[in-house]
Amino acid sequence: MVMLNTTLEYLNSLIKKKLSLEELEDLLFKMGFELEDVKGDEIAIEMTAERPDLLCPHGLARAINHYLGEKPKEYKTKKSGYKVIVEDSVKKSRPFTVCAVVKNLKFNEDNLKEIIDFQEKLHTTFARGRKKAAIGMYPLENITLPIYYKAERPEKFSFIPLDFSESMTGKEILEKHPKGIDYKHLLEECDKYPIFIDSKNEILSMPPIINSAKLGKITNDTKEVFIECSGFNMETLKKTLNLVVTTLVDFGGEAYSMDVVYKDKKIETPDLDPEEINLEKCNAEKMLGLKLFDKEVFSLLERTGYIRKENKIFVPCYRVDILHEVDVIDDIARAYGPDNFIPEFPQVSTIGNLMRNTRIETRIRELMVGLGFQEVFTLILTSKDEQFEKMRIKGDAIFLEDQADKSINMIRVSLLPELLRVLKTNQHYEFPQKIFEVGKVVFLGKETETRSREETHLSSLISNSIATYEEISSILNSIFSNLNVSYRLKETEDRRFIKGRVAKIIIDGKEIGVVGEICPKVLDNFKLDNPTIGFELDLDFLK
Amino acid sequence: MYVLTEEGEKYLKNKLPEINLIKELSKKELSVSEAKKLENFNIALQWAKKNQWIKIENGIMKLTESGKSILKKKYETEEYLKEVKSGKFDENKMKILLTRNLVKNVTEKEIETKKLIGKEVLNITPEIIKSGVWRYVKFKKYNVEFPGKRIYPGKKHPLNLVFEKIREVFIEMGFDEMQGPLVETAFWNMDSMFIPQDHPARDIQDTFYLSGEGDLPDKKIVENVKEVHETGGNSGSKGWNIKWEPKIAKQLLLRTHTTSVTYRTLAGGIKTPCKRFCIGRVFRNEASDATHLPEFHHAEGFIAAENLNIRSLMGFIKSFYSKFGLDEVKFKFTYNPYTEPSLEAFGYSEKMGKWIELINSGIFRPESLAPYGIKVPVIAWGFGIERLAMFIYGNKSIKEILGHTCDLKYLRNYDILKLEKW
Repeated sequence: MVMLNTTLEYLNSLIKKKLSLEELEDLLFKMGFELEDVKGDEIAIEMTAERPDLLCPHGLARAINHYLGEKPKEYKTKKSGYKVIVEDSVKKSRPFTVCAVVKNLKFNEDNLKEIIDFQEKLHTTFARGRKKAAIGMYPLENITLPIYYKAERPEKFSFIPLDFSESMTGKEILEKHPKGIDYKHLLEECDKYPIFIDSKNEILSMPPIINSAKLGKITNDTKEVFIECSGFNMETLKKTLNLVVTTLVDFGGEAYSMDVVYKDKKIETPDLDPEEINLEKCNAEKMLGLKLFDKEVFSLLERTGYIRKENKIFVPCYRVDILHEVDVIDDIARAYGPDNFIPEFPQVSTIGNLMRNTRIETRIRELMVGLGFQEVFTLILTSKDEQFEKMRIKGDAIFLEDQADKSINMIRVSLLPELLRVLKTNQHYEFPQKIFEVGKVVFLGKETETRSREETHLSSLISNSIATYEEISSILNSIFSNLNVSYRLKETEDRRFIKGRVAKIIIDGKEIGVVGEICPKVLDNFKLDNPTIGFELDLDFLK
Repeated sequence: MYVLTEEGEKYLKNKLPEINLIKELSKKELSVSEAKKLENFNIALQWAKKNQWIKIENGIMKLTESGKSILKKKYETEEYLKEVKSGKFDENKMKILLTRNLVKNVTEKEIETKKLIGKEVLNITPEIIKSGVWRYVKFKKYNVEFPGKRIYPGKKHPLNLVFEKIREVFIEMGFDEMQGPLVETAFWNMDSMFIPQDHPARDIQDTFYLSGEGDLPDKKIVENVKEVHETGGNSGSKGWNIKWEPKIAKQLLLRTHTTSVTYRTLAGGIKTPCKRFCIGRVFRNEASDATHLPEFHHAEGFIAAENLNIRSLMGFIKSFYSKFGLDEVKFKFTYNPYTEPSLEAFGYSEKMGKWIELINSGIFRPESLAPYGIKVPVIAWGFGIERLAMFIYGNKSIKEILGHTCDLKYLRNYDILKLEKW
């Protein structure tokens, strides 16, 4: 989820028709977006990472204008002939770059903020935290062409990074600069760090971390910018560059191409030509359940920004999400409007069935409820402390790593401790407290596909001023007789229970569970005052 | 203890019938037909004979020697009756009296019960009913308007009632249930449905990764998935244009949605038309708050059949919502990684007076079906059950019902018909 924060006034200044807040909300909803928050003039719109072209007010305004009927235009570039020379040394760190120049720009406070915000949003979303692509923008006026893209040992070069006043080496930037610390992981493994450097040996930036304070700061006075995009995948870089360049063109700028010279090839970037896509009308009709005239299809596509030339459809250069014909059909559906589709219940006749274990578990639950137990649902994620330490046992389990919630660290292997925790939470309510759960526990399973083995357990506890082994063994007796299963209790030793008051539950010679009076030490660990009896068993024997 | 029966009392007072017979015979001999006129003759005859006090010759009853002497001695049966009357008794001697129904074994309660006759009684007992004493007592009046004490029945969990309702709706509509594991490989949780290997949803901020690697499925399926990710394969797509790494797909994790179950089912081979559903627990690596826990439940279903389209999806969701009392439905397009088009569905709740968004849905992308050779459209939708449950039960915090933090008072008292009223 990505938020676009702007003001209604600013957005309206970019839209052909003045919209009221209600009209905007309604329009956004039809297009598939939601006005999330309004505070005075400030509005926040919930956007999606799938559509990075809409993550700035100009991009959203472009889409709204198309939706309202403005004919989509093609973006064009002029040749600048300016060169960026890529040296082989970047191959091991950040091998590719694509570049552009935009001239005749008029920056003001609003659009300067907009382009910087947009750059940051692209970095966090489409560029996956600058990993896939890093964008740099520089006032062209101060740069001496041609520009070089190369890699140097981090202790060998230094420059004054943005927001700092003294010169730092590449190594120091990673250690001290806030951006260096944030994005350290993207470079620290490399022997050499990539830099953009001009013909006067002035460093422009160290991608993907930071620009130079001297050459890399756009201001209101900047009229021409040099834009570069570096990363690992040419397609991604081209798309990212297009997103930035088309926005600057929408600001009123003029796009110029540059020659990016690699050792083995020379490419001209950016490429703002729309890309032809093949759309079979019948596929759209089939997917949408509609009959459409050709004219209608073209007009719906134009309302979502597609470019039509004769009978051919072209995807605008700033769209990064069109992989398949279905993505185009989706845009037709959006333009058609969700409210205009007539829902139709699908006449697909089949017979439904529950799985056997679902039915069995339901019967078990009903029996427990009939025996007067309250059903509870505890969590599968829990901690070693609850499952093992407080229960005075040792065991193996699947443990969690990097969990956001530090109170959990493993997947439960037993329901009993979780039920004891339920009792602990509810100590102030009336007794007796009789609770049960039918739930999954997960063990390590070395041989299985997912290295785990699940069991469905039934566990129950009674807590009261008097609670005896006889009471809980009678409950078990009742359960097994109602299941028509013969079982046997065999005295055992188990540190969770009082010695001499605990038994294994055995069916066909196989141990399936345990029943007994909970050991006072365990009760103490869970801060429980009342005698507590209970059992836990694996329901596998019912399969 | 033993007390005399009515008959026993009578005999103690009027002598036993066999004694009375002997008395008559000691006056004069009697023929059987004459003696029949005597009271309780049959009993008298039976016992006089048994005691060998008389013999009958030609229809005339005559006393034997012991018969003649008995009137001078104490008759033990009569002595026993006296003893019982006086409150003493010997268990061994009771047999004869019990056989003759002259004494009965009574409990203390029955004796106490007798004493109630004519009195006002608080509690009605089985003895009062059995003994007939109820005829002679008055029952004390209660305050019948007092509401009584609250007691707690065994109850199903409120979420379980929602599960049952959801299952019922799916079954009614012809859906077969499916299930799958909680611990999954990234392959089934993500790769199988064309979520790119660098998608933000794969981040550790969202997903619980576990140590170690799981197994990938059948080689052919893995090849197909790899191809569709890298180049689009034969799906008509451009693919993600990034190298697909088996190592990433092998990562073990806690499933983040039940769509892993759907794709296991699709990859396992389906016969169309096919409708399946799944209810299960899912996990998200986030810190918990009032409305979120790191684990919750998903319900989802899919239909794979010829001629399904976006209108069928809308039609299905509309019927599904109406089963939960949300008769008005509106849709909003959205973006999901594995469906296109994708729709969020809002239902209007009369009760709450607002639109609520529950269902996320769509038509599965061709790239997510091509690896399994599925050519028919597959429409699918899913929703979070806790969200629905919180609307139904009006809980302020999910922790009130789910997890060890649950409130027993709430669980004991929640309205079991909430689902029907909602």
